[in-house]
Amino acid sequence: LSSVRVVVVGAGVVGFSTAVCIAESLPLCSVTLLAETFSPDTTSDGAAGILFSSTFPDISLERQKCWFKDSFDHLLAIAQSPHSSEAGVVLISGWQIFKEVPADKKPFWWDTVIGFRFMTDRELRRFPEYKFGQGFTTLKCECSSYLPWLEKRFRKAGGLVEKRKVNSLEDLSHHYDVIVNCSGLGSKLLAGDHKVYPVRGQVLKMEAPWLKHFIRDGDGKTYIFPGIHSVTVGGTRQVDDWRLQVDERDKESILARCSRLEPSLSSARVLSNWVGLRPGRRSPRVEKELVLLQGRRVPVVHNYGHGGLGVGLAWGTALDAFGLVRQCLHDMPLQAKL
Amino acid sequence: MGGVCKRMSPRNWKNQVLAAVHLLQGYYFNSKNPYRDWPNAFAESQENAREGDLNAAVLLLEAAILQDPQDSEAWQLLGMTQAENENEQAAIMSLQRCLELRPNNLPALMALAVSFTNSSMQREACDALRRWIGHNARYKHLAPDSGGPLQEQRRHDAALFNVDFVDPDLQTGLGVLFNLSNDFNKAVEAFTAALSVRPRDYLLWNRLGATLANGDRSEEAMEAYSRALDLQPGFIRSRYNLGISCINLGLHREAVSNFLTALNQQRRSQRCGHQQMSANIWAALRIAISMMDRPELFQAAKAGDLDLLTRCLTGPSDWTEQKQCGV
Repeated sequence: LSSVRVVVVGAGVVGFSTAVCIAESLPLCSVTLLAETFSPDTTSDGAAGILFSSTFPDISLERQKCWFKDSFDHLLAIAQSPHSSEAGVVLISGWQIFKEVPADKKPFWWDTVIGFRFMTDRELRRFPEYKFGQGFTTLKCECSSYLPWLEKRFRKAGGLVEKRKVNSLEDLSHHYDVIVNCSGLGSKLLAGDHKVYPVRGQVLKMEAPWLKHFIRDGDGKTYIFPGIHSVTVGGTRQVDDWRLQVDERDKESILARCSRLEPSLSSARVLSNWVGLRPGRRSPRVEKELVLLQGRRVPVVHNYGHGGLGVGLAWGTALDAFGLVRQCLHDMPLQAKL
Repeated sequence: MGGVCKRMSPRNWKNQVLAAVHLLQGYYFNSKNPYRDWPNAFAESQENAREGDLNAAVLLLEAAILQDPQDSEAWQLLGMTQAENENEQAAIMSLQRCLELRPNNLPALMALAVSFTNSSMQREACDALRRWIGHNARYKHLAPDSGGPLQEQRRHDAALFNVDFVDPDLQTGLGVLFNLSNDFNKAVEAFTAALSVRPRDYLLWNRLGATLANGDRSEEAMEAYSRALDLQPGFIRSRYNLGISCINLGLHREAVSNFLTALNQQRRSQRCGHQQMSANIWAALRIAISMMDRPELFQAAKAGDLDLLTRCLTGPSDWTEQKQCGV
């Protein structure tokens, strides 16, 4: 045993963010990331990656604010650095619009994003079905660029990457001292968590380079997110739906809904279709526990269940998870020798 | 232990074959042994061990074995010295080799039981204790025909009550057995009883200390380790244990200082290379440094730069003179 061995399971945005945090901050640990699926095939790769948040019921508001602010500040620094293009992180402005005025007009993250304001009546005139809107500048993090960039950063910090399926935590207990579970929906099996469920999302990638602003319906089901190479147009939120195939009816519905918001889309070309299963959970699980694996109590840090907010909360929850890994190291009793 | 197997002169083919066998079994001889052809290697090793130069003792014992691979006593002492030097794997290999040559070597059996216990190999440890009873003229009749540790424990208890004087060896065996079942308070009683007969046995003081530490009594453990180190200042394992207790009590700086002392002691004989240092102590040192929040030292810790770490982390003013150590 030459150093403490940490393994991170999962190569989505949460897995790689967590692995980077650990490898860069605990250089005396050896960190391995294990996953079956890597970019461009992860759920994160399909995400539009626009930063905003919603409120989880079981997590203190203060902690949620921290998650969002840490993630925002981390990505903002990248967006304003020379790495912006390689990492796929850019600033973007736009509107979130509501058919009914929401009870909470000012979400908890209003002062983290830039220039948050309520839309004027003149601005809203463009969306006749909508009564209320918020305008702000936020970030867009495109995982098809961001994940390879994080992987590079992880390897530079001495991290090891292995592609293989992890069937059970038992398989890992002999080779690692701390297990970090970022397997998203995979936690249903890996951690035996029945509270995690799929939230199916279908989107289209469209060619519409004239669009520069995002538009999102507050219900989260209809959105237009212009990106670096294409516009992500969506979407669906189908709970407990495991289908990974493109549904033609969903596609038509998305196009109809989005064209109503942005009529110019009807002349845009569809580049591709994509379906992903968000790791849904009432609240994300960011906590540690001791699991009895093959007669040994092994510390396991969980970081999964971010639903559709993985990209926007990844860095913040990764910092939290890293803190938990550090606690595990402190709590790990070192055995005295007879 | 990451050494290279000793290459031998062609004339000594018999040794070469034996070395190959040992290589298969995993014992790595130091590649550069200045005592290779030393005439009195075995006798001198014991002098060095007494003086607390465990590394020199290891090299001399390895030389004695290369000169006579059938010397079971040399294998026994090599195993026990490697354990004192905090190299458990090497200790186990040597003791097993000794017992192949002489299966009824009682000190080797007890030392092997201890090493297996330290390595969390319960079954192997119990088996070694069983063999220890079986070969012991005084307790032979108590030896179980078969059966698991529980049955054995009962027999051990019986043995404890049937003898009317304190046998320190038996108490040591009991102490090991109670450690295996995590019954640390009973193990403390057993080692304390053994110490009442052998108060100057530094191995026993360390075993008492380790038992206290593993039973969450780190402060008391540190006292026991101090007794062991008073009796034998070169006792690397006890110094390592002392560092572990410091970590468990949150005394990271003191922990680091103990680990550095141990590593420097192991390196004392300039002839020996990095391979003589215990990987275990390096691992513990890295953990302690990472807990001290001294990121500027991570690189040195990772690279195993003992000189730089010693320069930066020892001495009364190391907190203010970080710049001078050239990190």
